[in-house]
Amino acid sequence: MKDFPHASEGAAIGIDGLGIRFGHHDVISDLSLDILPGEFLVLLGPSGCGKSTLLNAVAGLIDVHAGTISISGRDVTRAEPKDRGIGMVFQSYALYPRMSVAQNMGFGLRVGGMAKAEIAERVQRTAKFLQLESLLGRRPADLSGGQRQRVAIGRALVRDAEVFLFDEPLSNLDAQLRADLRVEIKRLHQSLGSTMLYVTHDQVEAMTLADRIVVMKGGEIQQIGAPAEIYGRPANLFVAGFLGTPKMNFLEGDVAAESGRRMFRAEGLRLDVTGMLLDNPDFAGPATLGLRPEDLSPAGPGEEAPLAGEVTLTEPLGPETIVWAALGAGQVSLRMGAENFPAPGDRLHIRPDLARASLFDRATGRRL
Amino acid sequence: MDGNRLIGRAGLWAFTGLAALFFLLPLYVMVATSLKTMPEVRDSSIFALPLAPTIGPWVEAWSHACSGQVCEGLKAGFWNSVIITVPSVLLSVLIGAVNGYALALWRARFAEAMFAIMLVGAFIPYQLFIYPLALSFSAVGLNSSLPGVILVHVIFGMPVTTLIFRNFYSGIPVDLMNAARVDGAGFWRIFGEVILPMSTPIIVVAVILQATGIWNDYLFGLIFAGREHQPMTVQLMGLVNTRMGERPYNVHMAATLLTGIVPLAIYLLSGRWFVRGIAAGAVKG
Repeated sequence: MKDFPHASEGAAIGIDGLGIRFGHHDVISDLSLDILPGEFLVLLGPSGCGKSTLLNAVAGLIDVHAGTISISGRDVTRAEPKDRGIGMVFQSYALYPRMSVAQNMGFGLRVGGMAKAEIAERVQRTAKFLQLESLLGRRPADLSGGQRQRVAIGRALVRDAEVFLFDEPLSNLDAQLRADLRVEIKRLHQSLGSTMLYVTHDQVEAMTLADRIVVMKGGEIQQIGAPAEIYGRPANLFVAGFLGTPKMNFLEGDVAAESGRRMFRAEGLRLDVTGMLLDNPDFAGPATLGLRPEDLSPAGPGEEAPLAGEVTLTEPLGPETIVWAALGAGQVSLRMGAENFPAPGDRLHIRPDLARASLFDRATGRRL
Repeated sequence: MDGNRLIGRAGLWAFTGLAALFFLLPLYVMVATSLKTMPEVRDSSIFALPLAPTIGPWVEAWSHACSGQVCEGLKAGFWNSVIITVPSVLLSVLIGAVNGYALALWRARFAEAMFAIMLVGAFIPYQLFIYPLALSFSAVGLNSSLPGVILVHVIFGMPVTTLIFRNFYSGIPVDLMNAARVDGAGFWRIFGEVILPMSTPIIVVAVILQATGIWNDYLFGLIFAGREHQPMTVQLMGLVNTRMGERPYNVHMAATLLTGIVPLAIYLLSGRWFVRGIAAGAVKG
């Protein structure tokens, strides 16, 4: 997959003050986002968060009511989809059912008035690159789901676009194929260097593919950042709860200063959180402490263990085991090894890694 | 099979058999009578098989029977019906397909309102329109002409064909349209190269409905076609009502069968497609 002769480098995408309205309902208002040339940006969020709407606006498939969109520095807010230099891959593949694979891939070039011989050559080259050569004469109905989506990727690729837009391209595939194609898309990005804007509700796809993730909810951007940053330092309770399986453990209590130390207090629990780096170190009041399952570990004999509870359930996953325990302050999950994990009913002493914990203002949901 | 089920089965067969007989009997009487000579028609029961079958009445009906003053049989009417039906069907199906495509797949402004108006048009009895339409046609010189009657058929066929195509196209995923737009295709290109090739089953349904409806039409043909272009149904009416002495029932039966043979053939030949088209939803990509 190394040597696809690709003419265009990735283009920057600028979205400035974007507003999208369906009827009288604002789906997106005043949204701004800059995507770097060659970047793999993932729009992540639950259904209805506006991520597909944003993608369709970049594609030019829906009307924008305020703001501007530029690609490669060129204002394309009112441009037709074909004039934006984009290739797009859809969740339902959207292959033309009565055309062969080759015709599907060449349709856009033919509409653009390219000579037959050149179309054939480009289709051939792209098919070779995606290992679709043996399928060129087939109809979409004769292909498997994974093959269909590869053809759809080929159709976007053949047009030599600067920007690729993916609208949940793997959601209709089964788990194994999804994992395979995910890797293929990542390789594709590495070898093309094009800008890719990728919409998904699947956090694994987001974490594995993205240079940066944009987490959205209710038409608003919640956080923008590298996968590790989004995962490690979520900006608010929504982002913290949306990423990670099992979910981040939330303990509800309050933060107060006690004789020069900052303490987090919850039912049956007092934690010294002075060492946590906070953006808002003077905060006092109702707060939520967020701890990832991998940041909780069982305390060895003699070790200090501020949390204690009873194991209620274990989920052995093969390489690791999820252990659920009931604390006074609520139910928590721990990520533990494949062996030597406790059994339901066991008493468990737990040590939190506070350096990796998150604290949120319960009133606003924001990270402290 | 136990006794109860056997009885149930027998009842079922008896009922369907009776129903089939009920519908087939008139057809049998017509075919039998059309193959008899007039003396035989007079003397035998209408249910009797022809003793000496003859195609004489069919020849008579096709080329010699009198409709009013003209005694040239139904053949002129047959060809008139063909030249009325073919363009009317093609145009009304094509326009219905374009309308349905525009209404279902392009979020045109006021699309719902336009569709509602069209449906109202489809449900108002069309006899109401005849007088104003005849007046308008005569004002623009379209009365009693071939284009006039074709236009009437196209106008009155359009609501139903639009409805059929709109419902079929509503099942096409919007992603397919979006993909074609990203590929740079416009309204007509998407219609011609993506949508129309997917439409075979529903085109068959629309063609069958329109072809049988227009072929069987009597009223529009009588009013709008004029003397030279009278369709077969109008000529048949004239033929059956023309009276000189004894009523030639054998010729009437043959003439009626000749008139009905086209829709009958369409149904028989395309029945499989028809059912498939009605049952078909959107074509899965």
